[in-house]
Amino acid sequence: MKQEDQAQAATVLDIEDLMTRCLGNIEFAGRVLAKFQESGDEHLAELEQAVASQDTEAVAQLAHRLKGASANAAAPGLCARAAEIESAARQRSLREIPARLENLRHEWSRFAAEVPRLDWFPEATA
Amino acid sequence: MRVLAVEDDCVSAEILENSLKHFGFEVTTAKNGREAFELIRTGRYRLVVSDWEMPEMNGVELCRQIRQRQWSSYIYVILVTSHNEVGSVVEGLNAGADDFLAKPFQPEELRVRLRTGERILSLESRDVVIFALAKLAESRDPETGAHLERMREYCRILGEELSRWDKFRHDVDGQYVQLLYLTSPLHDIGKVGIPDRVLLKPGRLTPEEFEIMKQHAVIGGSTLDAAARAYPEAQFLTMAREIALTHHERYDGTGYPRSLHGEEIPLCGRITAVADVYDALTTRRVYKPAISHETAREMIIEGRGTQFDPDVIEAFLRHEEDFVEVGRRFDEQAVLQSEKQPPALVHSVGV
Ligand SMILES: [Fe+2]
Ligand SMILES: [Fe+2]
Repeated sequence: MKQEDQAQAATVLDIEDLMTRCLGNIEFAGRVLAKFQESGDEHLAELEQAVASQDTEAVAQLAHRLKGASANAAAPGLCARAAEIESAARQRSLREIPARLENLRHEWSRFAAEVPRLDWFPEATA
Repeated sequence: MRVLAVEDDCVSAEILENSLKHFGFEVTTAKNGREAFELIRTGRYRLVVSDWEMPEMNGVELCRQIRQRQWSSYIYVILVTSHNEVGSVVEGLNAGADDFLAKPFQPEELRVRLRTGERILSLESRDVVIFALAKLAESRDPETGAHLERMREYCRILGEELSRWDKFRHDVDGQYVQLLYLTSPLHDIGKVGIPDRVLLKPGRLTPEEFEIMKQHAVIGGSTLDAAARAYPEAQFLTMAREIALTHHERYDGTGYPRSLHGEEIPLCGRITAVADVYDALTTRRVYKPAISHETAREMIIEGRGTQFDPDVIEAFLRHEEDFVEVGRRFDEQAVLQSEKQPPALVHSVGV
């Protein structure tokens, strides 16, 4: 993998951080990522629905949960995007939410594109 | 040890559970405060790690619910907070949280927090076990009421006073007073080895029976000696042994079981002697009515230098009102108790 690719990937997924959180258990880290992707799809759909129905309370809660999950799954980009939505919802600045949701969606697809490339995963952490 | 992990997000829950298991804990998970509270009610959890924000019942509310009730033992709660909630740590403390962990947590930090929690819980278990043991011995002696509770208060008062004297500065510190408070209730533990016909005899003991009764000091001392040898690092066992063995020694060397003189008697033994006798005098026993504080005071002063260490008597005289106050407090409690239910085991919790 080229140098700039690695720098790019770091904001999507911080492998070192993930491995610390998983106490060095590679197999477990793989399961966490799979679970994160699976639940992330669901959470994103729920969030979109809450935005559509302008339920700011639910938007804040769902974004908060996604923020926590991304932080634990060592996905700093997603974590930041979710945090932006949460704070907009808590401040009731509804107008900003659709654009931020778009950013989150974009980050999500970056993440989804990045993670399957993790066949180099074991070497990267060796 | 068992831990209850409370977290609504499945990814975070997975990581939390994995870390806890890695550190050797047995883990149960709950998805929100309500679910967690139901589990806590089973009485199987003493250590709880909970997320702050959750649907249905959040972590702070869970804390409040836990603190509103009496549990058989203390429940230690660690709240996991994300950055924007750090400002509300005060709210968490008010709700009764014991510690906090920033989210996303570092496993090593989690381990440190849990270790602190375990240590505090084990101190509580130790205190409760010691006191339960003492109560067990006392249970064969139905007349003594709150003797142990009062006596350890008296010991603490005396110990705290002596800790301020230059003479005792090196030996008596806060830790010593704490140990004294903890172990003085064990002074008569040897009575479990005294036959009922002697221990429960309503009238005066014959000289032969009195010789048997005196054995309680040796029995208690050697029982605790065995424990102290097995766990030499446990200071409370060493002190408990000295107290059990020497609380009937007299300053002039005419006491039992070893006729020790003056400072040959460990200080904890000299302190408990005064506390024990004062309480015996001022409370009713089968064979005698309660004596007023004033009379008891005179009798104790009379024992200065013969039965008791003059220094301990001096400490007693400086805190007479505190002694009277302790006696009064337990009288009131006894009245309250008899209006309610049978007395429950009193908790001695250091947290
Ligand atoms: Fe005794
Ligand atoms: Fe006693």
